Amino acid sequence: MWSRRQGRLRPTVCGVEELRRRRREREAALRKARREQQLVSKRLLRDDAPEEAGEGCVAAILGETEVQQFLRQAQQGTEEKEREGALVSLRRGLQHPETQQTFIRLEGSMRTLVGLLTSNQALLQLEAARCLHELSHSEQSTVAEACLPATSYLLTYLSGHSSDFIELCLYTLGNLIVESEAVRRQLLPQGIVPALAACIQSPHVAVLEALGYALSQLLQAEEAPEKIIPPASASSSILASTLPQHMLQMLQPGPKLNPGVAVEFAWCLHYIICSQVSNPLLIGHGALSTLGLLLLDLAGAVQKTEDAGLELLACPVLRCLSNLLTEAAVETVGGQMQLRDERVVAALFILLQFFFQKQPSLLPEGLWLLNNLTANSPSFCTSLLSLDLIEPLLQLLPVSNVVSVMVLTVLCNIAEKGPAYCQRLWPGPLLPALLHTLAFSDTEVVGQSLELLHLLFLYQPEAVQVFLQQSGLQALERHQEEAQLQDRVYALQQTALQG
Amino acid sequence: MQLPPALCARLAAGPGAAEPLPVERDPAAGAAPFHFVARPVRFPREHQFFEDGDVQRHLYLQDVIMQVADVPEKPRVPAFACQVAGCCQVFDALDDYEHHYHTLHGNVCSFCKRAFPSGHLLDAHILEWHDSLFQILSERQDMYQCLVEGCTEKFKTSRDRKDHMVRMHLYPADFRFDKPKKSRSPASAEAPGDSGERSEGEAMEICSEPVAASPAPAEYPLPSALVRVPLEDLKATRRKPNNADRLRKGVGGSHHCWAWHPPWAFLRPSGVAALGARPSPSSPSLSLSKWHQQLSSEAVRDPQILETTWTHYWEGDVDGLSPPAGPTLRMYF
Repeated sequence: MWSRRQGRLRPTVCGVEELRRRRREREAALRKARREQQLVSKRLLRDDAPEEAGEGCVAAILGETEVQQFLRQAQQGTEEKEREGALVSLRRGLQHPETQQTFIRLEGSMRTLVGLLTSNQALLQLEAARCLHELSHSEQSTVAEACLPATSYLLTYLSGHSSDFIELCLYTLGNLIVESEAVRRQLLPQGIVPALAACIQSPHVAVLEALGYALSQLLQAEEAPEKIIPPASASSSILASTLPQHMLQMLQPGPKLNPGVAVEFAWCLHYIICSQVSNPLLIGHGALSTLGLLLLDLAGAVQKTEDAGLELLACPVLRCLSNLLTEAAVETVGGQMQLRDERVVAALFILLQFFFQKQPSLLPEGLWLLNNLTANSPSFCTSLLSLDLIEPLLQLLPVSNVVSVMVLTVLCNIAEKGPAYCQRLWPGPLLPALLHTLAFSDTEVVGQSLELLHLLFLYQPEAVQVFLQQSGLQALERHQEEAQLQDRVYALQQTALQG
Repeated sequence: MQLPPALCARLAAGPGAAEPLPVERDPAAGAAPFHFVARPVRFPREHQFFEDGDVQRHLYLQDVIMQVADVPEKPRVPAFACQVAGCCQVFDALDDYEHHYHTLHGNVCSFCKRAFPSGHLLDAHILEWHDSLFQILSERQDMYQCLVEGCTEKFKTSRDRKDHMVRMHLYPADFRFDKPKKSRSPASAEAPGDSGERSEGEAMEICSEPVAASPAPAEYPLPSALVRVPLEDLKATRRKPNNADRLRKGVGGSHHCWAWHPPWAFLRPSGVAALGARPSPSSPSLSLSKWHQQLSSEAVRDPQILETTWTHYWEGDVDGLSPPAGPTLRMYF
C-alpha cells in the first residue's frame, strides 16, 4: 500500500515551493488543533482516471436540479451504463462543498442514495458508495452526519467479499467515526466493534489498512478510554474482542509484514496503551516481545531503504514500548525474557541516528524509550557502556534543550548505579560535554547537568580534579543566582573545593 | 551522529543480555539538594510530548489524495461474461467482475435465489425461511437471532427481533436485509404484482424494472438469445445436485449450475426438506409465459431438463417484459 499512498498533491498544478508552503500551513493548523485537543483528520480515496478528470481540477458545482436529475437517472434509468454514468457525475459534483450542501438539503436524496447502495447492481453499489465516501469526508458536520442512515448497511457489507467495496466502506466509516460523538453513539450499538473484529480476518492488504485506519479513528475518540476500550463495556469493547490479538499479529515482523497496514495498527495500539486501561492484558498477549522484535526489524530496514516513511511506523512502536515498560506487570511476568535483549538498545540507537538525519523532532520519543529501558535495568545500562554508545549519545546534546535534558537523564540513569558504572563514564568525553552544557542558559538542562556532576563526583572522585583544572568552578558560578539551581551549585562548589 | 561500527553486527547477531555490572548505591546520591531518581516515565494520550509525532501522523492521513498520474489504471481485459448460468453480464475489468460476482452470486440462497451481502445473513435466511424444523422449534422457544454480529439475543418472532434491532442497535426500521417472511398460500405465492411484497422500501428498490404493459408471449425473446449457451446445451446432462447443495450455495466451484432454480424444480419428488405447499405441475403460475408452460410440462417428464433450464421469473418480479440486462434479484432477507 505504500506505493499507492505515496500519491501527493498534483505537482503539475503547484510548484515545489508552493507545496512546501501549503505543508507548513497544514502543519501549523494541525499543531493548533492538537493544542486545542481537536485533532481530527479524515482520509479521502479518490481515483479518477486521467481522461475523465479533465484539466487538472475538480468538476463543476452542481445545482439542485442537476443533483435531482442525476439521482433520478441513477435510480430509474434503463441502461446500466447510463445509470452508472449519472452516479459518476454526481460523485464528481460532490467533491464540492456546495454540491454536498445542495445534496443533503434535497428531500429524499440520502434515501435514494442508500437505495442505490443496497441495490443488486454491483457497479451502481460501488458508485453510490463512492458518493457516500465523498460526503463522509466533508469538514462540515451537517454533511457527514447526513450519512448516518447508511451506517447499518456499511457495517453489514463489511462481512461481504468484495475487497474494493469493503475498503471503501471502511474508509467511509472511519471518516464518519471521527466526526462526532453523536455518530459514534450510533455506530457502537450498531455493532461496529464485532463487525471490525470479523473483518480483520480478511487476507486483503488494502482492506486491512482501511480497517486499521477506521479502528485508529475509533480509538482516538475522546471517550474511548471510558467507553470503547475497556473490557467491561461488553459488546462495544475493543479489549474484550479478538482485535488486540489480531493487531499484534499484523505487527509481527516477517515476510508478511506490510508497512502500510502495520502503521495503522501500531497507532491503534498506541491509543489503547496510552489510555492506560488494561495494559497488563496486552502484555499477556505478548505485546512487548512482538513490539521488541518489530523494533529490531525497523532498525534493519532503515539501514537498507532510503526514505520509505519508516518513521511513521517507528513513532507509535516507540511510544507503545515506552508506555508498556512502565507497567508493573513487566517485572512480575514469570521468568519470561520480557525485553532484556541487548539488541533492542542497538536497534534504538540505529533509529536515533535515522531520526537525527531525517526527522529530529522524533528524537525525544526515542530517548524516552531509552530512559525507560535504562532506568531500572543494570543490564541495559551495562549494554550502553559495553557497546560504546556513550559518545554517540553525547553527540545529540546540541540538538535541542528537550533532547539535552533527556540525554543527561539517561546518563544519570547509568551513573546512579554506582562506582562500577561511573568508572566507565570517566575518563572520557563526558566531562568536557558537561562543562559545555553548563554553559547553556536553559535551567532544566543545567539542573540535570548538576545532578549528573553530583553523581560523578560521588562515585568517581578523581574527576573533581580534572573538573577544577578545566575551569569548572567558573562554569558553576554562572548559575549561582538562579533560584532553582543555587542550592545544587553551592553543594557542588563545596564538594569541588574539598576534593 | 556516529555509531560504532560493531553496532550493526550486534543487531544482526543473536539475542542476549549483557551481564550487568555490580550495582552499588551510596545514600548520599539522593541527598538534598539533589533529587534525581531513575524512573521510567509514562505519558498519557493528550500530553504535549506527543505533539510532533501526532502532527506527522495526521499529515500522513491527510495526504492520501492520489495523484492523478500515479493511479494505476484498472487493468482492462478482453470482454468476458459472467460464467454463472443465467447471468449475462459482460465485463472488461477483473475488479468489476469480482464485485459483481460477490454481490450477486456470492451468497445466494439456492431455494429462492435471493442474494445476501454475507454468509451470516444467508445462513440466517435459510434457517428462517427454508428450514421446517426451525418453524416447529420457533413455536416453543425463541429462535429468531439478532442479526447484529456479536449480539446473542434471540426472539420469538421476527417482529420482536426487528424491534430489538431498532431499539437497542439503532438500526433503521426499514433495514433492507430483514424483511419478514410472508406466509404464502400456493396460489398467491407467485402472483405478479403482489403488492404486499412490493410496498416495502419500494422507493429504493432498484431492481424493479419500469413497469410496462405485458407484451404478448410471442414478442418475448427466448432466453437463449441472452444466455451465451445455446438452448441445445441446456439439455445436456448435468450433475444431479445433492440435498446438501440445495440448502446452501457457496462461492465458486461447480455450484454455479445450481444458482437458478425454476419454480417447478421443487415439484420433483426428491429428498428435499419439506418446503411447504408448492405449485403442482398441473397449475403453473399465471405469470409464466407460454414458453414456460411448455417447459413445465416437459419438466414432469424429464427431470434433467429442469436443472438446466433457465429463467428469471419468480414471484412475478418481472412480468414477462423485455428481459433485464442482468439477473433480477431482490436482496430480501
